Amino acid sequence: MIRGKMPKVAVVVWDENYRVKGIVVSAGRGGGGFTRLSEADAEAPSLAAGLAEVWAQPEFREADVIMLSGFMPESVCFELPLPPAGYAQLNGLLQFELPRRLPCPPSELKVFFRRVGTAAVRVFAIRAPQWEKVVAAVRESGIRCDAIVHPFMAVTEEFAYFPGFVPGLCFRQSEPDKLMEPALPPDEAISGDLPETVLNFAASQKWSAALKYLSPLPPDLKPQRFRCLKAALALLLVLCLGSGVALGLRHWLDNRERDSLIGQALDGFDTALAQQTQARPGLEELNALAVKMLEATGEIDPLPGVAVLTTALPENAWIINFRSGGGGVMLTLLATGSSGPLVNKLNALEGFEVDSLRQQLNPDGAVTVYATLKPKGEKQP
Amino acid sequence: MISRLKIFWKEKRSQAVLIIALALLALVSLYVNLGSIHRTAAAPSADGENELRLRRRALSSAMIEAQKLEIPIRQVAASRQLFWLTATDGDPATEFRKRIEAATQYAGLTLKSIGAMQKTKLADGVECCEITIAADGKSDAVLKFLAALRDSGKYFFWKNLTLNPDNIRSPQFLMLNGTIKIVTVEPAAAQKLWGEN
Repeated sequence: MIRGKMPKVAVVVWDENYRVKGIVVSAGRGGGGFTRLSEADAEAPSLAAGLAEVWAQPEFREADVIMLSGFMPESVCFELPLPPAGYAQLNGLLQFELPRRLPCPPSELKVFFRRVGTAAVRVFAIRAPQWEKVVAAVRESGIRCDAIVHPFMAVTEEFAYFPGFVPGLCFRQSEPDKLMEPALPPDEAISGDLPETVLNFAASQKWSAALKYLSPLPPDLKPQRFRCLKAALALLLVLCLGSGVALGLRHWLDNRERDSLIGQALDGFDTALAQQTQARPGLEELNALAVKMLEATGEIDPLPGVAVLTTALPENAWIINFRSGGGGVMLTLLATGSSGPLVNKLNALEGFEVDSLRQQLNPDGAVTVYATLKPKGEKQP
Repeated sequence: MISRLKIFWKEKRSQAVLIIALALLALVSLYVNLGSIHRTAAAPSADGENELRLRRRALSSAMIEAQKLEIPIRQVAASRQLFWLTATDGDPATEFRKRIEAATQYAGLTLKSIGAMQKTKLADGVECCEITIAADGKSDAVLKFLAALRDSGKYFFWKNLTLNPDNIRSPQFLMLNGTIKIVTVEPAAAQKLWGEN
């Protein structure tokens, strides 16, 4: 029985008279049995027609697990005890074993096999033309399936007999711990439910690991699933690669443009620096000349000083010496009586400020004032 | 969906692995490519920008120094009237003395002596010329002389000037001693300084 949540499984089985039966099931919740969703029967003049008729029912979809199983003439099924090995290794072992077991040369047969338990292999061999007929019928019907297996290859029970599907033989285990083998059906009612057997096998997924050797199908018979996903992945891949290429190209172009701009800017700077360097000696020479010329013309104009002094001095004072030069005016003044008004006048002179002032009292009572004036606003050294 | 994926994984394991591998490859390729872009984008621009920064700094400092050097040049350019241009103001060897004499005459000052013109070369085409004079007169005349000299040209500078009363009892009568200075500029130097003759 199927356990756990399983996808829908569709099996299509047929007998030697091309009575075709299709069943779609889904696993029940909590590991219950199958829920039969749809069944279809067909009786057609050919296998292809019967398959197509069943497959035309709306419940049969390619997205489900699809397994075909039915009558295949000129075939043989048996089990061989072989040591536990991988399928590739088993395939090699069978190349030696089969010629002794098969009724005709293996080259005339299509041989399929799957591992049964741990130490046995079940082999199904069919004459190649018969297999091609089955494949052609399936192709003609338009069905694309996961596997086409003989019912005996799907058998998981100890024995099975499918009246009408496998005439004359049952697949049975004669004794415990013995391999299954085809045999004539015994008198007692031994029977198997073919759809149920194939459903169980299809739903068990045990065959998927052996698919390459159990039912190798041509690509056009295999279902095309996840087409959107594949297309999306391919598109994503193309987009990734495309965007990578575009980014790389953009990066390369940007880099080239940036390099070009940097180069231009560097050239511009180099040119400007060269011009500066070239102009520097001339500029320095001119600067030295300008400095000298400014120094030469930096003398104080004595006229404002003389003009101010001639009008601003008090009545009791007069200049006995006026000397300009060196950026200032040196005065020697004589005041009769108090020198206060004179000093006040000096301190209040317009455009000048007193830099130093010294007074000397003469024997005759007059006062000699020595003053140094600087133009206002001129910084003191 | 998950069951489908499980089936897909079981049935098409090789294709799934291939697709995943391709997707991973694409992601890795993209990542490496982006990383490479990031690194290579950073490296040349960093070098270039460093180079640009160095050049800009060098140019900036050169320009700042040039601007400092240009300050006195601009000051000289802005004060052309302070210099005696031989092309327009005449030959200082004769004109300098004439102007002084004219000013003393105009002011009514008695020119007692006028010295020979002394030249000091400042640069090619630029000289400092000085003449020492001695004169006397009333204070009004002295003031008039100083004003006349200044009005006749701003290029007259008093290197030094000494005024003394001629007689302590008549302080309005002054003795003047001083050195008058001009800075002469030849046409070639004027061209260099101001771009004209």
